Amino acid sequence: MSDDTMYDQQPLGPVTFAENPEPRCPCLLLLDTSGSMAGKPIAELNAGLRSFYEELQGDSLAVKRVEVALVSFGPVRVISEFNTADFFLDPTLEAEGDTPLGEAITKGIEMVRKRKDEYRANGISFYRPWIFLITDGSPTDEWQRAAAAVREGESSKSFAFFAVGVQNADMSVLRQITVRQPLKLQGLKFREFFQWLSNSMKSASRSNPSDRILLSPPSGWSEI
Amino acid sequence: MIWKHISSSVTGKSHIDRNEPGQDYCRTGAIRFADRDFFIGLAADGAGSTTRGGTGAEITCETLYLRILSSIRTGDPLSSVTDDDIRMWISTSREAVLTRAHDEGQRLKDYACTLIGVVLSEDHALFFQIGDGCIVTGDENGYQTIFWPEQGEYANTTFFLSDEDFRDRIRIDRREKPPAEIALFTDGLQTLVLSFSTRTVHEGFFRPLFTALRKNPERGGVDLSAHLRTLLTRDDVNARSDDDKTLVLAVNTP
Repeated sequence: MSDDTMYDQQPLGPVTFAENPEPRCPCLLLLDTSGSMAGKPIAELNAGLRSFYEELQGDSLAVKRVEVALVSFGPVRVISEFNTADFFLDPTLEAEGDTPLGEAITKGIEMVRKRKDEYRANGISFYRPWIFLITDGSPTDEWQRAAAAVREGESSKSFAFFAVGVQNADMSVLRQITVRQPLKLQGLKFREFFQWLSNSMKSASRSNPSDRILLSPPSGWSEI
Repeated sequence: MIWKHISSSVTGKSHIDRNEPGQDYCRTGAIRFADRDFFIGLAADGAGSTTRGGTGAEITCETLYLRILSSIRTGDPLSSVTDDDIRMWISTSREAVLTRAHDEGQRLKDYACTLIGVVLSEDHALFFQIGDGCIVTGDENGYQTIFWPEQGEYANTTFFLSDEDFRDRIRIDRREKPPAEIALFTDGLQTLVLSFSTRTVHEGFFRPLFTALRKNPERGGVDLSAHLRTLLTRDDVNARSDDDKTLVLAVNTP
């Protein structure tokens, strides 16, 4: 085929595209696994978590972009570092111990900071990280310093921090930790909560240039 | 030295799906004044979080284009244009947007847009930019960016002409010799034509386009802008970026 024939068929020539990593959408879950969660609450939390990963895995864009990290507290354990949903380990969380909420938050903020450094070092762009705290009790450790770190992180837009109280959670402490209104889970509607969260993560991971945080209204799982 | 150029601005799939208009805009022109040739290329991307960003992009480009034309018509060489002059040009276009905002009873930030621009003469080149998008220059030896796309900390944030501190955000550069080939594009194309891990230009995208533009005869050639539009709306492009996309290409010919 002569060069001219080629030219007639493809006037702009055979262009190729650069390969780049997908922008990442980090989400950290701080999950209360203290003794008071024993029984149905922890079972529902585990089931909700599993459905959350399944939802993300079923979305072709979210599975490449959303990275989830899991930290349980009572005592503080990193269940999963930041990973895309296809790396789900399917953990079974067990209720034990007390509620070291301050330590969990401090650990979580540190993980987010490290992950952002890793993105930057590898030329990966990313969205503002979300941190979700889910607790059914009141802190058994010093939490004021962690609360100050949350407020500082929010004002510098380092992350967005949300708190969800379950059953007898101390909502007044949660209000002192988050700059956003803490939400109260209706009964044990963990599945509905995680369904809502995966939908929110799916839409956040779409290119939607905006500096706002786009969360759908927390209907179906939260008390007003 | 005359400038052959093509451009296309297409609405991204994300806007089409939501039945929204595109918010990119570009204005280009090859101008001959007093036996000298000039090229002006401007592109702007209205902020996705606004409803009138596309209007802001259009007013910015059109006002700025006229402002640059009148500067060229003074007969002063491009090399005598100072950085302050460029900031003044850009302020003029911002004021035009502000006037429209007042007329429509809206806030300036509702018309937020980025801006990238080049002005080329036979012996000088001016480049300026606010926010993301990119200018690429090159020749047979390879391609470089003038400014690496400016992002806010997060993937979906950048700086806009409507920002209070826009003067501090204007990046300006110049060369004594105009580039043989130049491209301007908005952020919808960034991840397809730049390699972010190595901060380099993907030559496989630009080389064929510039070659085609150079080869295409002025008269009796094909409508390359139409082909460019087809390229920018191809499925494999949409799969990688559903944002609006603008691409301006110019080559100089003796």
